[in-house]
Amino acid sequence: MDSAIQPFVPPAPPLRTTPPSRLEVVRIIYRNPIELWGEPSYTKPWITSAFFNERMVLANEPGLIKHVLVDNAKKLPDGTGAPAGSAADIARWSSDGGR
Amino acid sequence: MRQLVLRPILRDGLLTAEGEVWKRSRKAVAPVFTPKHAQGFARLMLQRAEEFTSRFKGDGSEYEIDHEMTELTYQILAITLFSDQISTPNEDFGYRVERLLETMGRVDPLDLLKAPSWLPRLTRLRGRKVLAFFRKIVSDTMQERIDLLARDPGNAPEDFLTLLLRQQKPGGLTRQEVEDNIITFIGAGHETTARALGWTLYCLANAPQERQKVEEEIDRVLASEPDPVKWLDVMPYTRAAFEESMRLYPPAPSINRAAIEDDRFEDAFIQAGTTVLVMPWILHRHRLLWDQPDAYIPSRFLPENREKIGRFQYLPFGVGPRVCIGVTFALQEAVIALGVLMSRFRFDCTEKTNSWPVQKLTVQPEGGLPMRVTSRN
Repeated sequence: MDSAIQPFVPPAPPLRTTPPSRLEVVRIIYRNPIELWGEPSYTKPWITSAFFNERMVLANEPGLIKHVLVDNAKKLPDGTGAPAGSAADIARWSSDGGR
Repeated sequence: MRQLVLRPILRDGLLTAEGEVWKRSRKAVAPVFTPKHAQGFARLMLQRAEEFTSRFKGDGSEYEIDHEMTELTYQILAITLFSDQISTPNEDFGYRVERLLETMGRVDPLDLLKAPSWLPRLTRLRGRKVLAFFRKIVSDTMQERIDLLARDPGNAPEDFLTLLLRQQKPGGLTRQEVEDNIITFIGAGHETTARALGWTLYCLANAPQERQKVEEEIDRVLASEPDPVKWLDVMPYTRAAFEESMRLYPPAPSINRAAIEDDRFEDAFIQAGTTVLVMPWILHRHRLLWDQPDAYIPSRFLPENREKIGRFQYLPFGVGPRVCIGVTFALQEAVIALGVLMSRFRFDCTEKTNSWPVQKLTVQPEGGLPMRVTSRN
């Protein structure tokens, strides 16, 4: 009988399917950053983005995460936060570097 | 996020320090957090958790569980690391922590817009009073222990605080670094575990079949194994329930790195200056990595299933050189706290429970966690 019981799905922001404006991005990052991310963020191994001089990589692929946080940790010290412009690009689906 | 939000609060504490300062701090505090040393705290954790249960009447009254878990983990931290000699009134400490996070635990819009640093940040201004409260606690706590060590060294506890103060020497830590580490461990050392405990009780309240398994395991173990050091190993379902909560609501939902030189991984080029984001919040719900990623399924963390979870797809404590130093401490504390609380009480949601997750420094339920607490006996 246990297998027929549906597991509990606790509340979480739905995966964003409509792009927020850049102004909205600032508001979301201030109010609740986990509401920012769109579907590609949850389905692609990584996403790269650039907005003027701001570049960002969202890493989901375990091999890339190992590369960044362990193997190459000395070359990647703590950052000061996601640049709003690039975060907006990722949230706006406008990234072309993800796979 | 860590640097942007926490740096003004914790300065050169272990969580926010970089380079040589971080190395010295890590080396200084490491002896306290070895698995063997952390096991030595188990009885104190049990004692404090048992004392804490007297706060609950068990008659179905409602309690703000998020706040209660902050108080519990603060009290465990106070007795284990500071021998109950933190100079602060216990009762309002949880409230103060919440206030600090409410005011300073967000990225200021001016930082996002890269406004010049001389422009005052509203979030920092609002948090100044609470931050001053924390700084005073640390300064008073340090001074009281320094006085005790000078007056009666034989009676000074050999705890985390004494260990840190002894590191204040040439080649060790500066006075400022000692202070920053104390505020780091007081301010940040218990908050993450508190949030994870709150989310665990919330998820279990909404998954009665899972809660029943946890309760049965706890009842069985508490009846046969009085030594809390062993609970982490003999309560796999309780531990799994906690770890699954941390998957869905990772206490630290974001890890940021900045590339200081060009780098490449397979066909991804990471140019110098690029921000690399690892988001446990996203990673733990990633569609390529998890089956039913949004569902609460503790059994995926049972020992027989654990090997299916890759080392780099589940990062509640981070990974690599900057992995959380208190992993063993936190897991042990969580299982003991859940064991004691759930052996005596059942926690249920009320119509007021609004658990929408909000990322501040940690992931918190927006409306707190009002829950009904009923005795199981």
